[in-house]
Amino acid sequence: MLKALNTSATGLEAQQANIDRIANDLANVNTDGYKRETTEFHDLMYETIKDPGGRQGAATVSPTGIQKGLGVKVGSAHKIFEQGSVKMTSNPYDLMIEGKGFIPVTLPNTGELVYTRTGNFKLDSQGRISLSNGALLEPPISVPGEASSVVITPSGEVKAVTAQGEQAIGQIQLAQFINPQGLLAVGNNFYKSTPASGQAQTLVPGEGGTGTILQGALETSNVNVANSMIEMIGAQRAYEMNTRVMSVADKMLEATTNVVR
Amino acid sequence: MSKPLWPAVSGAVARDLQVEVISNNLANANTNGFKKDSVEFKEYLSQTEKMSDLTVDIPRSPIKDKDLYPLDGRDQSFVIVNGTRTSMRTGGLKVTDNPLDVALNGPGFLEVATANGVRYTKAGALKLGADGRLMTSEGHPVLAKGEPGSDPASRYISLLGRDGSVHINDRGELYMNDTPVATLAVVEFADANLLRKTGGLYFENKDPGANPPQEATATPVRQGMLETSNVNPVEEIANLIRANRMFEQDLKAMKTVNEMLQKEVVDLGKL
Repeated sequence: MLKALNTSATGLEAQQANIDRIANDLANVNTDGYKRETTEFHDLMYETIKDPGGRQGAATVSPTGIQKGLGVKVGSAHKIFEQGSVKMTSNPYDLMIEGKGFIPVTLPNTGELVYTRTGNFKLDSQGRISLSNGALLEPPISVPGEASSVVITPSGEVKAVTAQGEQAIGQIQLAQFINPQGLLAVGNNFYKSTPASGQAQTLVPGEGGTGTILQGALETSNVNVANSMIEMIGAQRAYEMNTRVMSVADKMLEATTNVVR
Repeated sequence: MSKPLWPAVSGAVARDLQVEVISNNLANANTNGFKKDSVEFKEYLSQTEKMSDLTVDIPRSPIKDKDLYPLDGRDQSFVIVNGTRTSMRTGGLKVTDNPLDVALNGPGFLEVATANGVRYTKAGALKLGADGRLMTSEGHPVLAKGEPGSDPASRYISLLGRDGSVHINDRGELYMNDTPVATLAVVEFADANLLRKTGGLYFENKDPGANPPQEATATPVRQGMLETSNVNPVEEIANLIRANRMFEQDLKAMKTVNEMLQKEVVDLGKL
């Protein structure tokens, strides 16, 4: 019974993690470029009292064993990099990736290289293409002050339109990973590469599986509200069932104590 | 007099194990690829062996009423847990649209190489490693179909350097942009109950000689889906309530025996 108490506690913990994840997904339902997560559960170890198929005597094999499971754990919680839908903004520096690639940017303070799917760029005070928190596009691209408009082609060429005509000012590159689910989400829509994701392969948009760039659009969050709600109901009910097991185990313990009185 | 205590104790101990198994099932009610366990009880007659040769005419001890009506030990039957049986019934299929999620819609298992040898699993949420290798979410490589007895390390599936979309058909053949890459090793067992759970949604085949893995014939592979846990919460809660009540009854029997003993000791002394 004490084991049943611990087992149901692992169930509560796992469902708690599930609810936490769903809450984060739903909180980011309007965050452009946000990728939803999924929680996977695995069963814990088993206590084997009798082996299935073990010898019980001459010519007798036990057809089943006795195994007690010790509960559940969160096996993995990772992002699902499914493409979100397109939101047209008509802002020339809003870039959406139609494909699996990531835009490399450098963080303003540390200069660290991180990757993002959220391309809501702006111009900073020096005319450089940057994100609202100051992260610069990598490699950096500066837009000359006399440019009347900026054109970004699907293959990432950045052209400034001036009185003298079009002038190429840079090339946006996209990074792709063998295993994007292994990326580390560090907040602010940024991801860092890890040994699990593999090294970033930097390519020109359109090459490999990186995808192309769409100017004047943003990728919306890929959270599916209806799905999240259903998952939430499932998690809540599973949580309740585990509390029920806990209360039964508690009652049994109490009754046992009361046998001798 | 204390003898009737033990059948009740055996009942309580057996119910205790049942509650532990139910609690594990319910803790894994949302675990994809989990297979539930159920407890089987059996009656255990402690005195059967002793009573079977009841042919002695002259009793060596004073005759009791049960010597005249042989009970074959039925007055002293215990309950013990005979085994936990893993139900291999297929759970529900859940659409995930993830190309690396596969559900095995039948009795088959995926073959996985771990440090401790080949394991079998129904959890088809596959991942790509940094080396491009197809693996389970525990990080163990999934194996391709190969010759029986071949080295598992020669059967790893690598998608490194292959870009594009993955397609897996119902025979488990994996294609990358219409180029065949490998066939997932899906195996079935004549008796899946001989498999032993090792946690992490893996099963171990303890005796491959007696119960060899066979090529799957009745297990279509479904891409973009996951098999949900086959735990039926209604059934589990009903079993939980029943186990709880039976446990209380066993305790009640123990209590009664206790009171009778007390009467023997205290009240008989007053005479």
